[in-house]
Amino acid sequence: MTALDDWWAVEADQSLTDSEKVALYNDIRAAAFLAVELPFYVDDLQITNIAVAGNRVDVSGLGNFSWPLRIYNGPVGVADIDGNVTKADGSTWYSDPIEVIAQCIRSA
Amino acid sequence: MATSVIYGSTMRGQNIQYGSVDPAVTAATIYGNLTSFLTTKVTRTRFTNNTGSTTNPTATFSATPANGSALIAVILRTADNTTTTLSGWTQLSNAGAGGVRQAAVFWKRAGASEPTVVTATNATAAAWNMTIIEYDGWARYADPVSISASATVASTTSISVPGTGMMAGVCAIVNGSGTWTTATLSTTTGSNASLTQFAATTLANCSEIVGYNNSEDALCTYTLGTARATNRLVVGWPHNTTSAVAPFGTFAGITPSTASLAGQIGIEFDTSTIPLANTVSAATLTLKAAGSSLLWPSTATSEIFSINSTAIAKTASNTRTVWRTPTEIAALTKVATRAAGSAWVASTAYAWTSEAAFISNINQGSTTRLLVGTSEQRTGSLAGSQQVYNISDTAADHFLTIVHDRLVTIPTVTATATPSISRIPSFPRTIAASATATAALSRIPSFARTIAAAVTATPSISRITSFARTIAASAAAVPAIVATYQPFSVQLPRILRLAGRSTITLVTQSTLRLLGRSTLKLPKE
Repeated sequence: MTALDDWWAVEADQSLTDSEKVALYNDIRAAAFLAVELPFYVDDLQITNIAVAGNRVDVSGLGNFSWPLRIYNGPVGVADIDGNVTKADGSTWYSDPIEVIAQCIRSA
Repeated sequence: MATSVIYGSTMRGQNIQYGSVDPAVTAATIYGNLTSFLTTKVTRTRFTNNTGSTTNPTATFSATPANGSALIAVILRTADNTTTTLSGWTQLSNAGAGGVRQAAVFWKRAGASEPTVVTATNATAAAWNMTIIEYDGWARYADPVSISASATVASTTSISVPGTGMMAGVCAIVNGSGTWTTATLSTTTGSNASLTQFAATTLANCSEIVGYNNSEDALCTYTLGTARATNRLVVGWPHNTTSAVAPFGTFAGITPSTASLAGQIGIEFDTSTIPLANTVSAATLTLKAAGSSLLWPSTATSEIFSINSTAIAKTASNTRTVWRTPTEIAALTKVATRAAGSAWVASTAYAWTSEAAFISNINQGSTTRLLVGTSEQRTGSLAGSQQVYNISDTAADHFLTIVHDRLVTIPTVTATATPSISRIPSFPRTIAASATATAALSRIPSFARTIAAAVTATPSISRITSFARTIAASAAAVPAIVATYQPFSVQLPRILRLAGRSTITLVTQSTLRLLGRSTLKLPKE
């Protein structure tokens, strides 16, 4: 059971209100990102610290980048054709939050 | 400097096409009449209601209907059968129940000299209620359709007359046996439809339903004071509807010739976390492709526009908050583009190319709202083939990347002093953030120090002169200077040598005293 599975379970739960879903998403996100082993590298950047507060993930590190990277309302995985987890709709995803950080860094 | 990645909070894709009900009106037709479709909308010109108990129901318009307008006739009978006909009109819906009641609707396009009198025919006489209505605006270009076909409803006090997917239309109920005490039409909770009653008896009711701002669903219910079996129907003009179609995502663009998909999309990003005082140096929009059946324009460019002042609600709001005419789009600020023919792979995120204006349209401290469309929708032109693309219908799959910096202004401290200003070495002075030294500074002439005309220092710099100056203990008289007095220092022997040819002159009443250990040497003769 990955964080993505938990995320999708909340997403599909029609009995939850929007605010209840947001709270659950925040919990799932926090657990996923805080479990990441540090440091790790994204391209030539070294990620040295991750902090989570509410819907925000703060990422800091070393290298030429406008630190800190702050991710608001971010997911816990990234859709990719080579992903390791399959959603109910058939799409495949990487379940590692590192992929989210990498995508955000590369978008800057 | 910081980088904020903000995922979407709300999105809504709106289909310019004619909703879930297909009245064979293409996007090209709508596009050619956008003003009527989006601005004028369906407008009611006039209506007339009449009742009777003859064989042939009839009603008369108060004036000749305008050429090209759409006419609707609603005929409710409290008995009889389903044989009501209206020559020259097209039947939209018609149903009876066991010979006890009948609800029928017809429509026609008004001609150049349209008669004002409308008369239906039937085989038998019975009580009837007939309403005729003239519609203009968008109704001039699109034919009305049956939204909810005439049908029998079992005895109840609550009769639903769904207007889902309807801009505006007519609903009616009729009861054939017995009467109801009251019949009240109201919108379902949360709906914002406007209602107009055309006819109200204890046997029949005919009303108009207009969706919120002529663009939204109108879910209405008749509530009867007495439970009765009825027949009910709804006809009208569908509105545009969502362009999100599972599992294909949400569509933007135009399909000109078929009743398929085309739309514009609004997306909101909560940029309240970007402080107003910060300077945004870069902004990039990343949109994720839909999961399947991908489409990307071959000739049109994807264009993103700022619509910061327009809230984009997910449901139950004016669809016009998303759909804009070419003129309206041309007045917006374009903030990002993506070229025709670009790669578009399922479930893949792509960064759009930012325009220079993007950074100034990040709504710092508030919500940034973007309209997702195409160059065709800005110019009003239509290619022969569909110029459409589909993105994920999940708002949180799309994100804004914003690089921003806290602008801190460090005051420049300039101390201006004239060259002759002296500083007292032992007197520490702290120069304020901005200080201009004036003559009020202490001056000691004997320790003149020259300060450069302009000195820049940080506010906290303290000046402490750390050196002391000592006056030399001896002063030598230069030749030709006559030492007229040598001060006496206690216990210090002092020698006054007068070189050859020197003269000591003792003026009148002067005394030369030679005290202990003093010597007066006079040159030898």
